[in-house]
Amino acid sequence: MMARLARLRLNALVGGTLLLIALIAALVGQFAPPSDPIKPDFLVLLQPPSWEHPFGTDQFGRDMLSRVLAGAWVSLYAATLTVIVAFLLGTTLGALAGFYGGWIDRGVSVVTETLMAFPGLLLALAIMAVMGAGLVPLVTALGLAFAPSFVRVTRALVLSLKEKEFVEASRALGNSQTYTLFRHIVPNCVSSLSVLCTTILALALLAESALSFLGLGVQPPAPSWGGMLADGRGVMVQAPWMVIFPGVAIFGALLGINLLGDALRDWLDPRMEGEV
Amino acid sequence: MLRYVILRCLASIPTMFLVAVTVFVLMRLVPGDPATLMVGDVTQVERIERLREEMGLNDPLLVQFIAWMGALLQGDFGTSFINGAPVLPTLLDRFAVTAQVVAISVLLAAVIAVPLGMIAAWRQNRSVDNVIVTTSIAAMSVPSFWIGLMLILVFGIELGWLPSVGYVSLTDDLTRGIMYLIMPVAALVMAELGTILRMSRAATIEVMRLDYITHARAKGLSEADVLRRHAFPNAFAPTLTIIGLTLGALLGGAAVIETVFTLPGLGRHLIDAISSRDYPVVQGVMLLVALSYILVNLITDLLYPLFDPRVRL
Amino acid sequence: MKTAILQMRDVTIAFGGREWPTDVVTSASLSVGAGEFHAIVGESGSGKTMLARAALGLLPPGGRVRAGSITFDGTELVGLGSRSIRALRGKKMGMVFQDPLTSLNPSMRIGAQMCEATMLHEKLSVKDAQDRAIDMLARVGIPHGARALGCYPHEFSGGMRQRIMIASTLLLKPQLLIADEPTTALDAIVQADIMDLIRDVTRDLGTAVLMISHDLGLVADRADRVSVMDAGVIVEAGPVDDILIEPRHAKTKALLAALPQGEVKPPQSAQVAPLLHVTGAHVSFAGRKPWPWAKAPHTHALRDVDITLCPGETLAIVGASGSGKTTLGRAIAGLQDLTSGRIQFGDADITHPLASRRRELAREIQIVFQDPMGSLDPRVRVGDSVAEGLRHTKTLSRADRRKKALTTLTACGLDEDFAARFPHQLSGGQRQRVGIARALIMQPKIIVLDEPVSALDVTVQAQVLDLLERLQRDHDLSYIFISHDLGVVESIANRVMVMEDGIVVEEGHAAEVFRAPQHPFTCRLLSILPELKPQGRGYRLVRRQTHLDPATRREESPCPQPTTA
Repeated sequence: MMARLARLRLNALVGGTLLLIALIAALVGQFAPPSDPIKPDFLVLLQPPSWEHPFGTDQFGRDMLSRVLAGAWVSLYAATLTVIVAFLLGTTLGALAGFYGGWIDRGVSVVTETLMAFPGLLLALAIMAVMGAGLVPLVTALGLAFAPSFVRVTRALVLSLKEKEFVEASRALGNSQTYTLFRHIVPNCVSSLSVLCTTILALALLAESALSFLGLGVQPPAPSWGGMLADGRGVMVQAPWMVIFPGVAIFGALLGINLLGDALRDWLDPRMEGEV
Repeated sequence: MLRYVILRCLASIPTMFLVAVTVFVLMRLVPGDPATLMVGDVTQVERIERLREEMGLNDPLLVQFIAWMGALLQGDFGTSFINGAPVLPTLLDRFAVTAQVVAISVLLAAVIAVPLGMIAAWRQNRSVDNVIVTTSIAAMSVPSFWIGLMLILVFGIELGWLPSVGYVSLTDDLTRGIMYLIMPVAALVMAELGTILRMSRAATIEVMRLDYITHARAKGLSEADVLRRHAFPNAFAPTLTIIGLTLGALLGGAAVIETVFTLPGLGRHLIDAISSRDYPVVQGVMLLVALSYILVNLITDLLYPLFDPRVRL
Repeated sequence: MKTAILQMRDVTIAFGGREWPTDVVTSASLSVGAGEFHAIVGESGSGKTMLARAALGLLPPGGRVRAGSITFDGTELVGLGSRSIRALRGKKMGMVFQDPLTSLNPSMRIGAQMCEATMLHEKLSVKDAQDRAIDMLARVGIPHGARALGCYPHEFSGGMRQRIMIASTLLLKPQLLIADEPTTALDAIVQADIMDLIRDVTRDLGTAVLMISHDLGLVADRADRVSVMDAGVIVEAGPVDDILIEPRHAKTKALLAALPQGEVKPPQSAQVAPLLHVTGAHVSFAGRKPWPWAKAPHTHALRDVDITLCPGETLAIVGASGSGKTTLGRAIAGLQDLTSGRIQFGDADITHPLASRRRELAREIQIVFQDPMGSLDPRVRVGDSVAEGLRHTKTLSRADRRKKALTTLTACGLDEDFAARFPHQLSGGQRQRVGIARALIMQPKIIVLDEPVSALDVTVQAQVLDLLERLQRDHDLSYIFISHDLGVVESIANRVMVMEDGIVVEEGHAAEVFRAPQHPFTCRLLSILPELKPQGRGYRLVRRQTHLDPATRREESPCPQPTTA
């Protein structure tokens, strides 16, 4: 038990710190980068890390540190937007389907099942094939791709809560359906959904960097971690720093989110309460 | 039992149909006119118009859809805009490569992750559990394409132990084929390990708190027998679903790994097709992947009752 | 006394770390003689389960025997290596658990689970193990054992699963059977059957029993010796007869007082207009379609049920699970639509209340649920839960509502400081009082009580029943009291209705039904009730002797045969 608490606290601490670093990095990268992350400087092409350029420079002479910092903003921004889109779309549809049932439920189920029949990145790739590359298509595509997870979880939660006696009691007290939904059902979904949000945030960040790596996400010269890895791939032999630092950045941000999510999941697990 | 199998198979037919509809609609949403894209020259109005007529693009959408579905059912996935070759044969070649890499990776990941997850659950909240869980979180946080690049950098370039890019079919030359597969498989195993491990752990924890586990212990069974005979079958059912989902997801999502290691797989084929706007190929890949995904899910669902006989449809 | 097979001396069981241990059992001593039926009786949280589990070395994670000694057949168990204790488990000591739904492995066939232990400990061949299993199944009342071996647990009812569990545990002819509330999750009749079964089979096999229960009435005439536990301490122990005749400790007296007293309420005297009138109530549910194109089979939960309820009256509806009693209660509370039939409240037809009328109706008819945990929103404070129903009374200010909630809580026997707590900080009995307060605050005329005490310890049951009676007097309430156990309703009901398969099989004034039951099912329900009869200075516990007596037969009602759907 002590070990569990210790791990929970350590995970929350390390995860929180990593995420905080990523957030600060994003803000610095967006508003006060050490040097311009986009403008080429042909005097310092492919410089190894030095005091002046701690992360080295890329094949256009741009400071990798500035690019990694600026990339933090782009990546976190895109991932957060994705989660917001998926969350709003998914929970609304899921709650409606679970609570009202009937044809709404059938309609929502058909749509989610169809969307879920496209595995992983495929749906996002297809949507981007139609919409073209860029931030807006990226967020739309990933938002649509992740929304079914929210639909499924919300619907299942609402369905199980609807059977609970306290929801029946609310009906017996003469409360309207809307009141019951917002007073008794929605608050009881919060903890599960917040855990899901951290999971999806990590997946969205991963998917964003994967798509940018494939050249379908945020378009050059705008810096994104995935795009930087793609840039560095060709010159990996001469300039390994170009693939090391953006990768470490993705890893750090993902680790932060995943650790925090794990701590949250443990902390919110109702079965852990009151256990000796 | 037979009823379950039949119903489950029937239930996947509407999904396949809806997938086809979705792909059809998506491809009609593509900006620009397919005939123009195919001719590649906007000024040749007459040729474009002739092609439109040939391709049936002037018919009502429903007629187009029926014609398209009819062709699909006969195995006609259309011809590529780029080289005019039929889409399907290339797709199947590419699919074989992806399927090989993905199947080996997921199998390997499952073989490692399922027992580790069970051990972690068995020793829940002890130090073994903490180590396993923390390691799996770390593994989950490494992007597969980055670990791929790092592997190439270390084992391919620095040490020169393994070929860094390319592919040799296992059926052509087993040893060389394996050499080429080691790094992509390692990257994928690492990326997928965490998800399966966490599911296995969570499901085992769920099961271990139930009375029948205590009952098994009360019967005098050893801990190994309790885990193997009583915990495993019940905890494996939900894990199996996750393994199936992972397998299916990778069929379409291995594009990044295929790009890193320049494997001639389906994912890279799709990326190439998207960048060259070769829509018949895009459409073909989507259909093929979605169908195989539905098939994999169908198979895992059909295997499910082996582990949980209570399942009903 | 026979030689002790299990001997516990000054056993202290602690949870938590070495530095801050919390003792859940303090210095408990007991001994179980060979072939003896020993019952540990106490409320939930008294430590009785932990004590029994310690004997098998199966304490939950974090628990350990901090002091004392446990010897089994001369072997000291405390500190014994896991291999040696495993050799005893199953072979010498078996255990039966509370919830038969989770104590059998759902993914293994019955045969594999039953034969596992015999094959392990006695190295029997599969064939021999199966034959033994079939024999044992026959002894616990499951014929066609060979077929049962090939089935999965979910194909059996709860009672059957508990029989299988017992058979599987007794296969190795252990010297001691530990049974942890083996019938608490079951219907009253099944409870009695399983208890008798355990007593009879273990007597035949010469197996000693350590039975854990919260219900003295259930074990008293089956056990040889009783230990009463309270707050981790054994407060009283001795032969059953001594304890019944001369209970010394307050806890024992409370447990005895919770038994049905055999006093029945008189029928409502004055003839008044009925408050509630249900006629021809019929509810059917569409079942699963076997094929998508097939017609859904219908199950009939209620068939043509009539009820009248007079003001101030308590109508008890008694039946086994699946008899339709809960569906009926929910229909009256407006939570379940009738397929056909009519519900009248006073002069108003409330069969299908409009949304607007439902709110009005909420002031007249309220409901209290069975599961005290599930019936309260875990995220809403007790005070807010209770006050929620006043939302629609626009004349009340926020402060008024608060004040009213506090008074109602007090009326239900809870201090005002409970208002700020969350449900998980309350005990089962306290939660049920909150549930009652939530209904009471609406000042309804009728409260539907759906198994309001079945999930509670018997001593708490008695307290809640007392509360309900007091509230009925003070607030002029009518109750519809749903229960699977006639004993629970004996002291509170004016009239009793017995249901089976969605049909009312017997109805009458409580006095008549308890004195001269007309239907075989009612007789069965009555025959399992324990009753304390004065004997000498103390009491003697007897089961009711009931039989259908043609001489006392009241007006006979033809019993319609359920038609198969």
